Amino acid sequence: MISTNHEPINPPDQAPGQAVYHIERLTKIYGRGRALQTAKPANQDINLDIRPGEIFGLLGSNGAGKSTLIRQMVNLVAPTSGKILLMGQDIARYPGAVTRYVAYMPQKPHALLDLTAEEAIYYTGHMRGLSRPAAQQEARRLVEEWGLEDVRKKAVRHLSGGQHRLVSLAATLTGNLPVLILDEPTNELDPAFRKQVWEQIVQVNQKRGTTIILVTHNVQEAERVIQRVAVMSQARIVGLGRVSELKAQMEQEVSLELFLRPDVAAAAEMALEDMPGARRLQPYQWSVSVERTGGEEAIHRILSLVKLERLEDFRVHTASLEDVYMRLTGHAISHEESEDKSLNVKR
Amino acid sequence: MQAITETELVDDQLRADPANLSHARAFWDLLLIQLANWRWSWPATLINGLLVPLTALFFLRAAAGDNLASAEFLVSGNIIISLIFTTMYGTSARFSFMRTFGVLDYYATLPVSKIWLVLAVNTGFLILTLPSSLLTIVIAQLFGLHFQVNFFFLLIVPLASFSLSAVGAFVGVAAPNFDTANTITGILQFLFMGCGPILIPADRLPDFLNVIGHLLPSTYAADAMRHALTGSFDTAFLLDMAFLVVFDFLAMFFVARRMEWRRG
Repeated sequence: MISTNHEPINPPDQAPGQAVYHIERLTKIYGRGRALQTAKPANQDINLDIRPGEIFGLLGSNGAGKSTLIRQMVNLVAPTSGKILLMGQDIARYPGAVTRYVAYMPQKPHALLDLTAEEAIYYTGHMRGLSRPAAQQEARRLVEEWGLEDVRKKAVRHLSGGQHRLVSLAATLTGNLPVLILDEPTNELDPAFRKQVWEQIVQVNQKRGTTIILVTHNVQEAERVIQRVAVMSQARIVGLGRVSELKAQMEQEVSLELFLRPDVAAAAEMALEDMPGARRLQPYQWSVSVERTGGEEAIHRILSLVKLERLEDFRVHTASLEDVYMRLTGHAISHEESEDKSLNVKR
Repeated sequence: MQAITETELVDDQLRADPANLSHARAFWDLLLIQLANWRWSWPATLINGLLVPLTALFFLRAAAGDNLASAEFLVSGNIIISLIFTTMYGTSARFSFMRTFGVLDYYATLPVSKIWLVLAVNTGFLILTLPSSLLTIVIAQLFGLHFQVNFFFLLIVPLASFSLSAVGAFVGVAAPNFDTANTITGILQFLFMGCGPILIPADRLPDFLNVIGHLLPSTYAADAMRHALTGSFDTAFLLDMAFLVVFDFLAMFFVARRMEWRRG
């Protein structure tokens, strides 16, 4: 039933090799009139190409501008300046390009709560332009693929947060649009569901050649899936490239990750605070970057300073995407924070 | 030419194409989605639907007494409020909810028109209020009032309610929050009802209110509906219909051009 062609599927009007998204000097400042002169930009001078068939990650902390960028890409927010081409079409002039090519799942999907899980998927497909039998077939297939058989006849509003998110993801996939934009797809999911979501994302990308754009805080898990990444900080893109390329910039380093015992953390933190290359990741969790050459001695010295008895655990690893993120932005990505809580409130 | 295999054909059919989405199909889907919540809340809807005609009955006895003309005006005014203003209020609340919780984002990223969404929400509320209005008419008949449900009545109902629903939708989308939308719609409802012969006959209203009333769609909607209910299809009725058509086209234009659901 499903094509197993691994090549990216070009929509009929996309030239070969053309970027799926071409973003040029994009700036967004919320507000009007005088407010434009004084307000801080939500996006500033963003230049970005997203290639056909890739899984692209957008990383950044709260307020970095990820969601604003995503919402501009799906035409929910108008840019202050700059332009976005989707399959070569300027979406400001041809907004229909977005509805034709892009399936978008927002961070907090609240639509179709009164429908059953299967109906929510069916109606999304049908309104995207699938025929009635095709929309029904897709709804049945996605319900099975996402393990939603037990809740297919339950109203979406009565599902758990995780089940609700799976239904939203399944609905986003219906219609097989060539571009998927998923804003925090693994929020509210337990580890088993998260694993399922990452597997499905890879499967859709490989089987259909779908271009997938992900916004996520879950850098550790996403790292296994994302092929290229843009790191955003303070409204700008501060790092862009293949995950392996970005990590290669730190290949001369290893990271020592320390998990402090809460009862004696204060003393350990005093030692860590002035240490070069040390960063606090989360409460009681620190990371120290160490030059690979002579690293054994450095690690020994750090452990002596912090004291082993103050640690619950420690591990040494080569640079991860999270380390790259920290290097580029100067701070750790927060796992609890939720991007742009006031998205639907006019600014 | 390369033959199309069965797999390719099926795969191709499972790829959505907005060109396949007709206006009628989009409207029907949107309407069914609007009606979906009734499945879970029909007992409350039923009770609410019965309360309105019973309240109308109470007012009929208490306020009009033996004066049939007053009773007719009161009952028809009640039906008009139910069908037009309740629908405007409901549409405003629904759009405000959709704006606040990001539901509009979902529709904005689908190939559906905002006019169809407004029409679907409007129709959903009309379907909700129509049974109680029909029951009110039946009860009124029992009290000797001569109302009728005819083709024109059923034609006027959507025609009359759409322009005000469009106003409600605009308020719901433009207001910064749910409470503000409710307040603005409440004020508009009060103004529309007060500035024109909706519940009070024109000859009992101050002249300036009658003048203002001529500019409002609610005046023509109420007058047309009153004509339809009493079966008097004269020139005034045709003029009311013509004005309502004009107002509806203006409302559609307004929604299409000024209601910004897609671009924040």
